[in-house]
Amino acid sequence: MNMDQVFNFSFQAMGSPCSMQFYTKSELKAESVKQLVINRIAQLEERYSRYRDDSLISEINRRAGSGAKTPIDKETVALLQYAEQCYRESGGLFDVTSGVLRQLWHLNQTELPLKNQIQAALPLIGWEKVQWDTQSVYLPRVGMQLDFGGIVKEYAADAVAGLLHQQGIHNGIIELGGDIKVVGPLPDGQGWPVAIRDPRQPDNVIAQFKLASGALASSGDYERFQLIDGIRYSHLLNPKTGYPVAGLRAVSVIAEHCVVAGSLATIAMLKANSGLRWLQACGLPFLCCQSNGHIFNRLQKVKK
Amino acid sequence: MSFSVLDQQPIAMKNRKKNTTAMRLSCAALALPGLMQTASAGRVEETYNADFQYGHYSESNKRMDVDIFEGTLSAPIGQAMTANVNLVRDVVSGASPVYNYKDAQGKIRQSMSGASPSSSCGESICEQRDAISSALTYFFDSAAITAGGGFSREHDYTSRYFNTNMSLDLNKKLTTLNFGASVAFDEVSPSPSTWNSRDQDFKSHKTSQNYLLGVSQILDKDSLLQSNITFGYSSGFLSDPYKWVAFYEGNSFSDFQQDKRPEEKFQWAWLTQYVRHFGQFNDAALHVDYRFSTDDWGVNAHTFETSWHQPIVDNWQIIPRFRYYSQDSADFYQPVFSGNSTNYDAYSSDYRLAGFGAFSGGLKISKEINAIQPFSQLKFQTGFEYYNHNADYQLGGNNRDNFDSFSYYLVTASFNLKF
Repeated sequence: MNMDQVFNFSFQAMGSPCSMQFYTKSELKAESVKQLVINRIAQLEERYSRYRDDSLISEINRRAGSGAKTPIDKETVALLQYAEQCYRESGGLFDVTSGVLRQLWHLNQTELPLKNQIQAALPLIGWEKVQWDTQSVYLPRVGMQLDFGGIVKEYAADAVAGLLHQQGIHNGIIELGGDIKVVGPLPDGQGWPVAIRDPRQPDNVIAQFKLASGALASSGDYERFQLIDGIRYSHLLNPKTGYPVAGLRAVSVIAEHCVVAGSLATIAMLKANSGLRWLQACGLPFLCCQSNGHIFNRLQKVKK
Repeated sequence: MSFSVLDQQPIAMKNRKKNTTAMRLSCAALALPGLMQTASAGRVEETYNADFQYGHYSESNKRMDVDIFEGTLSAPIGQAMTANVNLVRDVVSGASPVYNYKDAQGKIRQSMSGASPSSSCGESICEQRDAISSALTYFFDSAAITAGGGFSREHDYTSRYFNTNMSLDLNKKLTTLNFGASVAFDEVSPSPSTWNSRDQDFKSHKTSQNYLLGVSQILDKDSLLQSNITFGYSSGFLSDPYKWVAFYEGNSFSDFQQDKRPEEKFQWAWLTQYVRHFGQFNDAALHVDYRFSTDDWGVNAHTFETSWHQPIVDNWQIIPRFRYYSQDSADFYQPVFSGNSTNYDAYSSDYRLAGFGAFSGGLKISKEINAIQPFSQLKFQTGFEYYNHNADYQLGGNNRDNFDSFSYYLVTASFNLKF
């Protein structure tokens, strides 16, 4: 007889609402696991948040163009390697140096940035300019910025799942701001019920299924966007043109790892009108909402 | 006789599935610390993999027919090892060229081994070859070591071989170096027949060594270049025990001897392969290969091959392939010899040592099904290949008559299961 009970926690991390559910023996164990999870996410945030002046990322960005390299550890090297792979797979569209553009396209603004402002920012973008090896990283121009925003939240979901697994938890699920990673199925072997919302009407569910393993991550223009003169501008910016991408409304991808699902979804969004075809070639289950509202559902590959 | 019609697919094609964007990103993600341990190390196949293949090879002019049955099973052992076992059975029947002669008009003709009503299959050649091989691969963070061996047996030929291979990833996994070495110990004991005059207990040996040095370089996200050099050395009994050589003084027959080749052979080969993906054509891929080989028997050979891997819809894929091969003849090859055998150190009229060229082309179609419980993937493939061998096709031409032209076709069907 299985004595495990289900525990449910909600918390705020990385600027998003987060939750997790898992089965374990006692409340004491559940509380200690929760604390470990919160500490682990906080640790990632302290290191990789660009909103914190004391983070490693801010340190790297401050030293841009100063001639001083920043020493890095194994985890950061792996993130840089991963960022490089994303850059390569996306033909340069997924670029962790494109955060510079966010200053021009920040939320709450009511006017389009000037063309010459964008032109001035473009030379500060380019992954290929980043000098890095397994010991250190250096941004060669003043004003350049690294931003792992598109990677770290999803990686955190994977890392937390790894932590839960290590703590002997085999039935659980974690959600960090809409990105989901399954630690293991429900105790009876069934998948966790998961839903994807309509990007324009968040109360509407457009797909519902059970996820027994792996991860689901989404990218879209529904969470963060600007309305300028009645036009909806995505928070996803093309590093080559400096302008927001338009083409797809939202993409959700299922993969073994949340970080992979997340970057595939982001790359598809960045690829705009060729994103759908690219997703099909990837061969993973996905759901894509095109700008005309048409929904392309290829989730049937989901393992029940 | 040893047979290897189902030639190895190019390495990059075998790895095609693994080279998809999702797989490459997953590989990169696995370097991130703390990811769930249920996912095994990056390059080990996480699944059991079973392959079954049937092929039918058929030569023109009522020559050889071969049925090929092949099965491979590979299984993960722990987190860092993969083991595989491969079994092959070739069932050969038919006839093969034995020697060349001059007809009444002095024109060279080929003589075949012919039918044999007394044999088990009614043909002069009824053989079966069985082979088993096995290998174990151990994966490190950025290296892999494989050690393996095999055994193959026919009634008149036994081969035992061992091989080892090491691959090393450098340059953030953009560059892979490969080193390989193999050694084979073969025993030839030709059975007494019309075309073998040797003693019943005649037995001879052949030893071969092969060394490989290769590099594979990812050029950008869409293209890959690989190049390798192999060096081979064989020694011992390198002749074909069932082939004969005719000698003539003018147009009159003077001597008839069994095929006699040097007892050593050095060979160098250089293979270069370029693979390029085209995302805009539904993730199609172009493969272009060129191989040059030269040996101290005087045979220089060029192979040019190209194939296009086109995914269509619903996991169907179609692969047209074209190949051109050309070689010049061995120093000791002549269709027929003049004078007497005592004037020569080595002689052979084996069509495989002649100068010739060959065109071949084929088509493969495959379908992958991803959601059939309990398998995680099922793949069917069927293919057809046609090959045409002709003296005239040799690069730069050939003034030899086309007395030994032939063609073959090969039909294959296979299925692969991952579970």
